[in-house]
Amino acid sequence: MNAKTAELGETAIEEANIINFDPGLLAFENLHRFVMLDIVENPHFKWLQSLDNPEVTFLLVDPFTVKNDYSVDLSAEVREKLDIEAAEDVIIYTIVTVPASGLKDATTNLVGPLVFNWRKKVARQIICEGNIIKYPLMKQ
Amino acid sequence: MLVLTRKIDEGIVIGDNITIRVIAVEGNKVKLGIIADKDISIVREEILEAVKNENLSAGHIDGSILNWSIIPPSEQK
Repeated sequence: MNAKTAELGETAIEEANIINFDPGLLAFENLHRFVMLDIVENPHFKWLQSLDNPEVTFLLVDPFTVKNDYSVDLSAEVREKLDIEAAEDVIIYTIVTVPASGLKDATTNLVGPLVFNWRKKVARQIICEGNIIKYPLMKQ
Repeated sequence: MLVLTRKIDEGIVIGDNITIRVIAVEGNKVKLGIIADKDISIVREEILEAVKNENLSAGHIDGSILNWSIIPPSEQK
C-alpha cells in the first residue's frame, strides 16, 4: 500500500511493517496504524509515522541508552494484551520531545514508554509512575 | 458526574469486580483502597493527563530541525 508521510511524501509501505496501536497513544486514541522507520545518522533513534494521519510523527529513542538504569515493569495485563510470550518479543522506546531550540534541549518521556511486540507488530503506551516525564537527552 | 458521600471504611462497588473503599481521611488527603482484577489498570489521573500533554507536544515533530535522514520503508532492513 502507499501512505502519505510527513517527511518522505507518498511512500510504499509493506503491510507486514505496520504496527498496530490498540488503543492508540494517549491524546491520539483514533490513530492505530504506524510504521517505525530507521534514521541514518543515529541508530538509537527511530521515527514513528502515523499512517492514519500523515501529520502525526514521533521521534523515539532507546531509553536504556539515555538512562542505563531505566526499567519498565510489564504487568500481566500488558503481557496479555500485547500477546507477549518471550522477552525477545519486546522492544521498548520512549517518545522524544524536541523544543524549538533543537535537539540539545530535547527530553524523553520515561513515564509513558511504548512497548512493542515486535513479532506480532502490536504496541501500546503504558504508564510507569515514579519516572521523569521530561528527562534530558543530553547531559547538561 | 455521580457524587456519593462515604465514611471511613465505607466503599462503593463499580460493575462486578471493582471495589473502592475509603481507608483514611487526613486533612485534604483521602486514602483509598481499590480491589480490582489484575487486568484493570489503575493510574493517578494527573499522571495520565501529563503523559497526554507530553504526547501532544511531541506528536508533530518537524524533521527539518533535526537535519537527519529517514530511511524510506522500502530500504529498511
